[in-house]
Amino acid sequence: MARFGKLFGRKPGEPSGDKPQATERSGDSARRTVTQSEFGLKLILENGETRTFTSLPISIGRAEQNDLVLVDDTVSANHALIYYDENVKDICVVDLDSLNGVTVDDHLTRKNVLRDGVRIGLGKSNLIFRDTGYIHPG
Amino acid sequence: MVICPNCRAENRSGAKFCKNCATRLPTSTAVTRPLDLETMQLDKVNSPASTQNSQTTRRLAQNPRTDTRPLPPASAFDRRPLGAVFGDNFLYENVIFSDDRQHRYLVHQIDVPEDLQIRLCPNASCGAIFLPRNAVPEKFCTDCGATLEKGGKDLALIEARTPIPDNIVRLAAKGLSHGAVRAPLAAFVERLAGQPRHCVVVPRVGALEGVPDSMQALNWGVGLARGLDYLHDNGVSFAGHIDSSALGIINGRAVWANFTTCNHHPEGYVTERKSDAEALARLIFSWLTGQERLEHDPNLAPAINQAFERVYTPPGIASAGELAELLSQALEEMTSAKTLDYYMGRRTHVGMVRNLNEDSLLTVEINRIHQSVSQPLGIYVVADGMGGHAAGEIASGAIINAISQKAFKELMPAQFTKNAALDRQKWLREAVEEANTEVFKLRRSAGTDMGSTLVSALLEGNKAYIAHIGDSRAYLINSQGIQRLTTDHSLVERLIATNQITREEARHHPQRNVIYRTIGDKPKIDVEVATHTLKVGDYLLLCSDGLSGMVEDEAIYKIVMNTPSPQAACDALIEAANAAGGDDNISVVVVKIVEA
Repeated sequence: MARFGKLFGRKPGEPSGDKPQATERSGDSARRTVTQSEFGLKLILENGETRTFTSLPISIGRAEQNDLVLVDDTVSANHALIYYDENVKDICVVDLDSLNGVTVDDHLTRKNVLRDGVRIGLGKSNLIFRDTGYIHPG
Repeated sequence: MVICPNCRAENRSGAKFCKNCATRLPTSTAVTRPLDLETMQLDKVNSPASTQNSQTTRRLAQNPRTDTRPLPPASAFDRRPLGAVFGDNFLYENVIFSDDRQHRYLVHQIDVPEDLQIRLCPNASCGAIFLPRNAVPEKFCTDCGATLEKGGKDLALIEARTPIPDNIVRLAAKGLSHGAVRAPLAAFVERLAGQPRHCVVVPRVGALEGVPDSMQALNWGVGLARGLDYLHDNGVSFAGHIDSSALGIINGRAVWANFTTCNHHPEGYVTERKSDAEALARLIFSWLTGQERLEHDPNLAPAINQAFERVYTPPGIASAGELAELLSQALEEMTSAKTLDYYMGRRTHVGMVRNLNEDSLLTVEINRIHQSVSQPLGIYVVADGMGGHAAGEIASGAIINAISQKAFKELMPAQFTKNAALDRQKWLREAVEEANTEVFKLRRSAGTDMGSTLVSALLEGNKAYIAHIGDSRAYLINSQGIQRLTTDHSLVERLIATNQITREEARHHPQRNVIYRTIGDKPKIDVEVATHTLKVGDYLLLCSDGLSGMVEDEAIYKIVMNTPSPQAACDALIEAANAAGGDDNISVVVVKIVEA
């Protein structure tokens, strides 16, 4: 999926000043308006629950202060971070030196670029990462 | 370390151009070099893991993991997923090779800030790689002076379970930059789920397959020898064990790429310069000949044989730099030098007064033309027999028989077999000595006063070895004039040498025919062999005193230079000697050195 812009760190709870409007080209190149609920970074949990994030970074772990809290004793307190890497110029996940490590599509990794649809593994938990063409309003 | 005379920047030892201003640097003389702080700090800058480590330690303190349930460690050595970033610096592109001990990935450096970028020399014949350094980063290639560009593409990353050898880690920290060297660029450890992964980043090179052709082998050899000299300057050696597994191919030429077997001396002092250089010479020789042992090989061009002769003849070569010089000289000679051939004329004549020709002539030529390189060999002998009927002609005949037999027995086979290089000077001296013994025996048994003079030339390539006894002469004639290459062993020459008479008086001296050294006079004889270098257009003239006693040097010069061929020159010279009286037998051999 084509990426249209960068994501900048804004806390999920923060009220956004303006309604982000975005256009996206579908297969037949017809233009359609995308509403807020359709875009963003989605993390689909194993129980089918989808968590949508409109800002980066996203911290993941067992501890409660994380943006995404996973209740699983094989997940470290601060396990991983999804963030925009200025050098790689892409959204990456990085292992915060967790005990059981981070996998992407079932392969262990330390820092990894995230493509739409990859499966992120943290301990025994798995998340599906969906990048639905978020455009930052700025 | 080399200080730039222009901008005072500090360049690594072995650098030829300043990294800061591309000024040509003076050649480095310092061999010993203390381990500099720069190298130590580079390791920090270079290994992205170090910054990560400090963060990691902090996080560890914050998050005691005592309550996290450990999963059983994965037994399989898993390769990384698509999009993996290694050491915060290198992005996964592809897997080249993968097994349960090692993974090889194709990676490139991500868009790090400029001061951390790997830089590359864009010159295709160089392509040296420059690692980021904490000091002023290189702007210009220290090997060829070209402006550096952003590099970091086409790198291979090897990930293993076992630790990286210390020598590789140190080389990566050092950062070697040379056109013929592709040294490790980075070495670091990452922990994945608590398991260490040992990573080395190296420039990607092709494998050396088969054997290069001879020109390629020499070209590669020059580059590799220079690269080896640079490695030695930087404390890297192979302890005399060099084979093609240490090499890789980049842009169609060989480079030093595998350093697993190398020794790295931290203080930069290398004692194996000589043995390494010899080992490299053996490798290049094996490419050229298929043989490991360095020896004269008749299938090689003389220039190459000469270069390797310098390697295996004591004292040999002291450094790889010397080997590079020898090989590049050989290359230059092969590509620019004209190969030679001999164009010969000969004639003997009884003269106008005598009725017996006691002179004898011998000409033996052999010429191999291989790969358009002509390797001529010629033996030319003029012997002027003395002692009258049944004596002079027998003596001179015995001489040429002895020399031609020795030539066919020893000199000819040496041209075609892999005998060690024959010492031509020694051979010619022995040939004359043996001819003398032969004639001496004949004289004893016949009881006559037979004897002979002799002038002989052994020509090989552009070298002429000349021996003479008595008053037969060798002349060198070219556009610059005529030059006697021999000094007659005669009474009058002695008188001239001691300033008792002039050369003009000698021509009419009553004892001008008295010679004090002849073949067959004594059982042992002193033979001097002189060596001359010939060039295209030179004439070598051998003659008996039937010519030199009758025709002035100046007239000989004019005749040789104004006749269309060496044979025509011989005919004209004999005609001239006869016209002047023809008092003695006249024998002439004229050899013209021509381009093959």
